[in-house]
Amino acid sequence: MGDAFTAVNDDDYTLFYNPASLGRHKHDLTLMPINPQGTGTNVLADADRFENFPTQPVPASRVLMDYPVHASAGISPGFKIFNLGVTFIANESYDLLLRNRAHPMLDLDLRSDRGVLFGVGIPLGSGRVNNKTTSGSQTNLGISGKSISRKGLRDTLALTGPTVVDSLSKEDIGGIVDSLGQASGKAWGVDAGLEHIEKSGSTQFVFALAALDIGDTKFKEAENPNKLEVADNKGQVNLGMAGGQNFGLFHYVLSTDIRGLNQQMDMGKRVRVGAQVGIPLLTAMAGMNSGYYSYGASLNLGILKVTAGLYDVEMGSKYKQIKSKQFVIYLSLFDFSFDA
Amino acid sequence: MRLFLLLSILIFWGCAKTPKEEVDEAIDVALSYLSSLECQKAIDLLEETGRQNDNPVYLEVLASAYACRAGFDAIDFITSDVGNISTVGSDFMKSLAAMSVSTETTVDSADYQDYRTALNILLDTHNAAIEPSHANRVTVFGARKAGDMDMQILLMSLAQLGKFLHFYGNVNNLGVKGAGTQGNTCFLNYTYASAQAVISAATTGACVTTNAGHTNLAFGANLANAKRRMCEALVLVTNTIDTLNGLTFSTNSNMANLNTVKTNINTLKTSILAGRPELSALLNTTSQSACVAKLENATEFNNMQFIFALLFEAGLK
Repeated sequence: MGDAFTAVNDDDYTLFYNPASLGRHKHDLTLMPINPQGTGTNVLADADRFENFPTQPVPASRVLMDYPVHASAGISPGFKIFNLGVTFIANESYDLLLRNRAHPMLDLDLRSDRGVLFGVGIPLGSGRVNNKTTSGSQTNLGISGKSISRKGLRDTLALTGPTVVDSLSKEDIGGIVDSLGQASGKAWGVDAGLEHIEKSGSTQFVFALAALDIGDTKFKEAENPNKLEVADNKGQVNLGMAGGQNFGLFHYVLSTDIRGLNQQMDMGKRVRVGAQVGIPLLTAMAGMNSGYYSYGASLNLGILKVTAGLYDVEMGSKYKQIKSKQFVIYLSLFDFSFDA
Repeated sequence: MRLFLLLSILIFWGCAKTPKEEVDEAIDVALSYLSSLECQKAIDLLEETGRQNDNPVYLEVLASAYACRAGFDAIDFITSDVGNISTVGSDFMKSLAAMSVSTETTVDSADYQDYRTALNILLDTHNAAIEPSHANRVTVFGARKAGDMDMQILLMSLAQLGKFLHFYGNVNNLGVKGAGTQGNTCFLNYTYASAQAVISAATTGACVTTNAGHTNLAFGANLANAKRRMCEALVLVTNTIDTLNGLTFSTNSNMANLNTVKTNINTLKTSILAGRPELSALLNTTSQSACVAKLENATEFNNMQFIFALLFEAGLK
């Protein structure tokens, strides 16, 4: 859905997009115990590039020049109880990008995150929108905190320099990562959000504003002789709008986000647009994120929900600077909700 | 309404980029330009931020932008040329002069100047009292970044030394001195007796007379330029030695031969200094400006002629 979730935001990832959405939690208790997710570079979209892939680093660098490489895997189990939410995170993420023919340089962003997010959504005023409401409005204010330990590396290294050359002589990925060097850091962060819901019959509109990583979530690294750093989370203020209708056997949602209102960036890079249409068990999604398209589908069998998609994402500072073609697979097992 | 104003203030308070963010963005965009060889765009973008002399990644990218404009491609250089650099001492300079990047037909060409600019960006210590060195880069930038800069300096120094030898040595496509089209068989017209004696000893290839030097290295009215160009060559050699001594090359890489080159060149320098300790001031100079200043002294100018005879005339045959 083009990552336009600020106003749609009522699933496992509430605390990642807008804590105010906890205010519209429809049940007394919802558990999301097992939800592994994996993303990676869609190498099949560029299969020709990897034919006869060289085994030596220097010729291989021609193939990988300007080609973003991404892989991540993680889980984020959690629960929502009334309007409170807790999500635990365990995630591994690797991003590599080789650029510059005159002096090949490797951008590295390696992250191993462990942490917890916790938040509350507070309905403001007397208006409530829930499963029993046929029409009404509700405004929610949300706030959440997060504690994250991050181990990894954020650096730009010369491909021909001793650090990278030494690391490429190692036999496995773990050895390569250790040789490149890693820092460990801890951070506390705060998010806040606001949303307003208008419901009339089967139609619902949501307007939302979220401030994530307020003041930036900066990781304080342990002392290390090479002054290695991990990536910080940059603060972002996002505006979202979503509207849709649910007719029981068919539903659709249209959403849009304007990201990074607090940052200077190209307008095209801010805009996210998404759409989903669904029937019982099956939902199809599509969207546009910073000028790049995405599409996917989700199968919901009750105790098992599977979502898969292909998407392109911007890896550079500018609009349409570096396109990374990626895939996502997400499983959600044994989610259940309970009302007292 | 008050909530809206509060939100507006909150939103727009953080709008402006910090100077660090501007530099980081310039580096990021410049790297993309350099992947598609849009060298001038990268130069313009990075120079617009102002020189970031304490940011090693910025310096590497800016230097590589100038090298890009000169047509330098590190991957091509390593795969096509570096592996062919001779580990036999007597053929080392000939192999440099014959590299594919060494072709040079114009004095102080735009490409040659861009190589100089690129190297100066990486070497400049911004302190006249401190000459460039691997040790100083480790102190200023840390061992990791110093290693990256050293490799960049080494590759560009080898490429530019090849250009110097090719042009001023008047070589043919095989790197044979004096076999080109410019007419000279020596680098200089030697006026210092000790240097003349080296030429007369018939160990300097096609250079057998002491007045068959390149016109663009002639003394007299051209002396200031000649001194500058002689120093450019010398500091290429001294910085090559310094960076080689700070690096180790994997034995199964395209650059494994540089381990032997390092041994040979250090042996040569040691033997020269053992016989002629008075040459140590110049042979230990890595700064272009310090070298040119030294040549204002008549004794050191003679020593430079001697170094040219011992190192370049005897080295490139």
